[in-house]
Amino acid sequence: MEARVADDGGLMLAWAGGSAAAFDELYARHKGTLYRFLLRSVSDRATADELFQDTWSRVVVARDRYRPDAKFTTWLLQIAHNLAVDHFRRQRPQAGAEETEAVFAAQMAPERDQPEQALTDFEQRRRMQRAIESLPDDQRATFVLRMENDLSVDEIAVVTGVGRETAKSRLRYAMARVRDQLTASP
Amino acid sequence: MNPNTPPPSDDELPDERELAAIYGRLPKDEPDAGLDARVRALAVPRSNGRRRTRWPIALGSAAALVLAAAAAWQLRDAQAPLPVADHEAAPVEALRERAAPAPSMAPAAPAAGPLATPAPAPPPPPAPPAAITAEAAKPSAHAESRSAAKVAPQVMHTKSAPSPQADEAIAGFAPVSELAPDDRVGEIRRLLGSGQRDLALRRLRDLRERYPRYDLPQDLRDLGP
Repeated sequence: MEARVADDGGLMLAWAGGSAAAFDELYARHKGTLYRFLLRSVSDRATADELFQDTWSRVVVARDRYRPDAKFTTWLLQIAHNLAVDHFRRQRPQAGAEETEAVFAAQMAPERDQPEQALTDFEQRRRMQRAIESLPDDQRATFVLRMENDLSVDEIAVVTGVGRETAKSRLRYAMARVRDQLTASP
Repeated sequence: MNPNTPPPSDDELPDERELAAIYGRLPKDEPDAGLDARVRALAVPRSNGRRRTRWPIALGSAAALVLAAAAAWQLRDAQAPLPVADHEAAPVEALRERAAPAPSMAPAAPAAGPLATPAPAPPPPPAPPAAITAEAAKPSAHAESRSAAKVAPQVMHTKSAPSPQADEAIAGFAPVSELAPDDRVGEIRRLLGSGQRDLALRRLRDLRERYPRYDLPQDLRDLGP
């Protein structure tokens, strides 16, 4: 992925210059990871479809303003993340940090003592899916950006618009919670 | 995330690789074909729009070229017959032989059209039309003087002196330039008779420039070289 990302800026410029083939290449590169980021962020295919299309629509509108000094992946995910956040705000109030911590603490303590169980591959995937869905929005976005899009903590901070330490803290909490969900007894 | 690829060392968190391995086995959901088509359609209209904006420019440029070519052709057609209609071929040929113009002069003659062609020597034309202006006469005299190589020094002198031109304009010299040689002789004699010797000499010089083969009467030949 890294080797290809280096050319994303050039593809954007070529596309802005009228090359349809450049857009096709750019779209082919990023459609999967972007779509999965959105699908796992909103857990609803119809909404993910809508946000996916909205994201590319924003890219189309802003393509003349794109500058190669901004990493395309970060820029693309930033647009998608902002649209997802807007969606969450429309759907329900964002869970506050205190509420998040309370839920996190309540669920983590007893599960830490559970013995690890050998789970089938299917069961692991099912638990992973549920664990992701159960994460607070900001932790879920952070976790998916890390797992799906392979972003560094700094890049996650840029995409989600928070400081590096906040991003790292969210990631720690999200990973701990997912791990605990995976090892929890059924 | 590739579970075999460790994350950046400063970012690596406990158990991250194991979690990444499980995450990597989740379904690789992709946008369906309909969504793909809708997104691609978002990018296409801009390109088509550009084409739409380019086509009128290209068509407009082509139309302008066609119009310009047509206008040039029309002008060419409009100018070409005039010399043929106004002047007989024989005098024109005679003038060309007499003047022995430089090659570069050939295209200039038809371009100048009726204005550049002096009155043919034989037979004398009727009185010049009053509509002929001094401006029309100037190119004629100039063309003739350029073509008469033998009298070039005199022509240069005449053309370089501004005051005679002013005199000619005042004295109505331009219409006289359209006279036939015999009429010019009569005019010169009249000027000599009325005491206007300088003007008579200029007109004699002009007569010699325009009609170098004309056989001057002895009394005028005696006036000067």
